[in-house]
Amino acid sequence: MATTIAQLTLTSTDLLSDSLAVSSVATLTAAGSSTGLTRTEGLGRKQTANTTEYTLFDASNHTDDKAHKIYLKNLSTTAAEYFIVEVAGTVVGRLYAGDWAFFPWAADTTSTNCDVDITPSANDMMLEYMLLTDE
Amino acid sequence: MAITTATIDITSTDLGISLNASTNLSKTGTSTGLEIMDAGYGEVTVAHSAKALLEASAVSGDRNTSNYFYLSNKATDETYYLIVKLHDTIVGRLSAGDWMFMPWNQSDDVAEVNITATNGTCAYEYAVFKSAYTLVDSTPA
Repeated sequence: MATTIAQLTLTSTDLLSDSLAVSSVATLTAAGSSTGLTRTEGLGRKQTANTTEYTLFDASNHTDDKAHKIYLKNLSTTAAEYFIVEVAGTVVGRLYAGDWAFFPWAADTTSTNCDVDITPSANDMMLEYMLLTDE
Repeated sequence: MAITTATIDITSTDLGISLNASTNLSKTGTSTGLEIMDAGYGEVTVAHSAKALLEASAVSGDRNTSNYFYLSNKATDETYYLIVKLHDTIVGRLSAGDWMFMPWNQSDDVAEVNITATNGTCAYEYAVFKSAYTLVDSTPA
């Protein structure tokens, strides 16, 4: 059984009148169990050529409702450049230059097509990605 | 200008992963730090309907901006999980002990973040960082 640890740290000394220090540590496990995740796709990078929408993860290639986790990072260094991130055709948010995201993914194909799509705001942008899964 | 840093470390000797990424959370399209934040802790019981954790701004000028939220499922029973939705769209299942950090567009006033507890009550912790959030006028009783 593989042991995979994901740790988040949020810090700020000047956002509030008191220091912000949030730390959260998760040992990533298979759905509904304490068995560690066993597979990964990536770590990888994708270069996008233009501002059309790209499918990053196709839900039909994965099993519904497993403990999938997705990591994304926008490698741009131009502050105004972002990726629009969509799940199942719904805009989740804009991932701006240098920012990263880590979130669970249902990969549902039963009630909806839960693809993860990205749309770059400019030509020639680079995205780093990884999928951790128990399928 | 506030500097708020979000850092992720993913490590697994078994899967050969040693990843670190760090970013300063900035206002939309700039390198100026975000200054609006909300955070909290609560419990959500098993219910047939989703509970709104974060409401999107009702003001159109606040939409399509740089916002991020953190959510952690503090349940300890491995069979308990939170279904995380953006309005009606399922993003994923947040298992007991897991956390997530992702951008949030506030695309429109029905782009709220919903959570539903499954198999048992889940305590949760959250924080949200926003570029813009305009308070609306109060409605007198």
